[in-house]
Amino acid sequence: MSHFLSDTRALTTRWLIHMKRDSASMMLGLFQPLLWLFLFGGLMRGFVGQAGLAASFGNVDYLTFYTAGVLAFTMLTNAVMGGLPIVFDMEFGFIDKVLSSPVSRSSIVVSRFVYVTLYSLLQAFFVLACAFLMGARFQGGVEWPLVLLGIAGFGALLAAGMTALSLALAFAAPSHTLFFSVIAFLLTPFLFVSSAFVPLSKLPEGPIRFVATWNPLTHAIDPIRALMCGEQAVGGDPSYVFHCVSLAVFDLLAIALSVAVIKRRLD
Amino acid sequence: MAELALEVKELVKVYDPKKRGKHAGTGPVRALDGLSLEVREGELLGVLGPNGAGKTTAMRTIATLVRPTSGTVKIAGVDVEREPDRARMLLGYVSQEIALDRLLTVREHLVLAARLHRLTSSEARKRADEVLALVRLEEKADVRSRKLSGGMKKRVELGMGLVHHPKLLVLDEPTVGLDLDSRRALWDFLQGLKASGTGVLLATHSIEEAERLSDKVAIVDRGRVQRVGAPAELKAETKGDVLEVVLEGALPDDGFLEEAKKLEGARAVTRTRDGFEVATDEGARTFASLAALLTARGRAARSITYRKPTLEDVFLRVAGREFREEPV
Repeated sequence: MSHFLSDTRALTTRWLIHMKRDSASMMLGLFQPLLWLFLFGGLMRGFVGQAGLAASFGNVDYLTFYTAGVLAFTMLTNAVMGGLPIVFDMEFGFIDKVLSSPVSRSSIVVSRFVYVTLYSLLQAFFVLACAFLMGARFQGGVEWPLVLLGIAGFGALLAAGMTALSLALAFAAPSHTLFFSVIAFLLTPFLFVSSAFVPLSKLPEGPIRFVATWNPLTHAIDPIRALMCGEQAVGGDPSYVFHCVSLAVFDLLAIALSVAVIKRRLD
Repeated sequence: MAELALEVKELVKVYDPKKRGKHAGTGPVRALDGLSLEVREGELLGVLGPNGAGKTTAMRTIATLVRPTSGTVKIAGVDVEREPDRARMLLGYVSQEIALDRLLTVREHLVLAARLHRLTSSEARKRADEVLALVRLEEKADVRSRKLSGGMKKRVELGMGLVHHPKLLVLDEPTVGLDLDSRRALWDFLQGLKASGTGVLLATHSIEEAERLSDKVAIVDRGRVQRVGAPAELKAETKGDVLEVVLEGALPDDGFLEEAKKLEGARAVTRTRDGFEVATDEGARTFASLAALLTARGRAARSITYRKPTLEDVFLRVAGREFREEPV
């Protein structure tokens, strides 16, 4: 266990150096979710008001409602890209230095998760600050430190499993082109078939709503939204424990898959 | 006698064609077919073999990156299958391709390598300083790797392989792509490293490199060691001589070489830049029949010289096919 912690620290240090040195990518990454917030959020906010749809969103301000979606989606995006440096490490052979050392294999996965979570939280609080300047307000009656803690907690639960899946893909994909293709293909449906834009209950019944119910993104968005906007925004009891357990089960399955793929890769 | 830094017994690796990968759909490939090796502490074993002989698979298997189908690898007495982490502590591996993190400095690479081998942060920093001096990169310590020359990058790689003081250093074709100066500097460095007691396993396809550095050479072909011994022993064991023939004018294209192969005692004939060479077990008789052949064909030789076999001759005889210096 002590090895695991120091191994994870050693590997995480490398990712933090990347964050510091590759500042252009970091800044672009920081501002990217703002585009979602300003463009789509701004558009929909006006539309919801004009079309008299406020009741569909539990009579909460659409911008605040939607910010919860942007927060969760931002963390999801970071997490699914979490395997990318490993893809390049494998293409260039750097991974051989890691794998021929006694470093704990799970610390490879966990170091990416720690990095993704740290960066996502930075991004999330930046997005929140911008949303606040645009007029979004916490309106669920929950104390603000608890809201922030909830955002961080559910965000990290989502990021853990998604980072693990991304690493599984990184180890399984023969090239970075396939890695990018798979993610580009899946990311948009992941976003639209979730409760990011509208509440689960307003999604069309049938396959779309069914998939959205099982989408881990929904299980992060709904509790975050309930904390920010109040229960009425998610159509009643937010059942935090249920979302928490769902995400934890998803994480365990994803991590098990990831470890199996990494082990297979060693043969 | 020095302890064994590496003991490899009957290593077999069969790539399964059912799995994906470069051998997919080609039928099972026996990349290693019963390869056995030993390296003592302070000894350098050169592994010489043509492309596709199994050198890289052997290096990667010893470096615990490929799991063997059967056979054992022990690093300083530690079985890699049974105690992989302990074995990895005793092993340094430098791959053929230079693979550094372009955003990290030289020092950060060395500290990372030390930390991956479970040294504490403060030990890692101390070792990094030592290794910076060893590979003569003190002045570049805080420069990012992408700004280094090829030779410097290779030295960072070497430093990363040595920072945890391994008992065995595995080097896969370390001088490929290096200029002459960097190559010679690396050779000198490896000579010094042996003196410190580290065992070195060096895969190469350069005969010059193998001969210059190796205490022993293992000639590997078709996934196993065909011959092993000190370069001088291998040459001495190889019976016979070589007749070097330099012709007046160009070598004719009329089956002359085919006939030369039929000379008495001739074992093999190879074309050279301005003539040909005949490997023979019976120098005098071959010489006589060669002179007769030249006269019969009306060809004149500028010179005919006897020489003892070189490592290349040994290699050609063992590996049994033409040896190419550069990968295709």
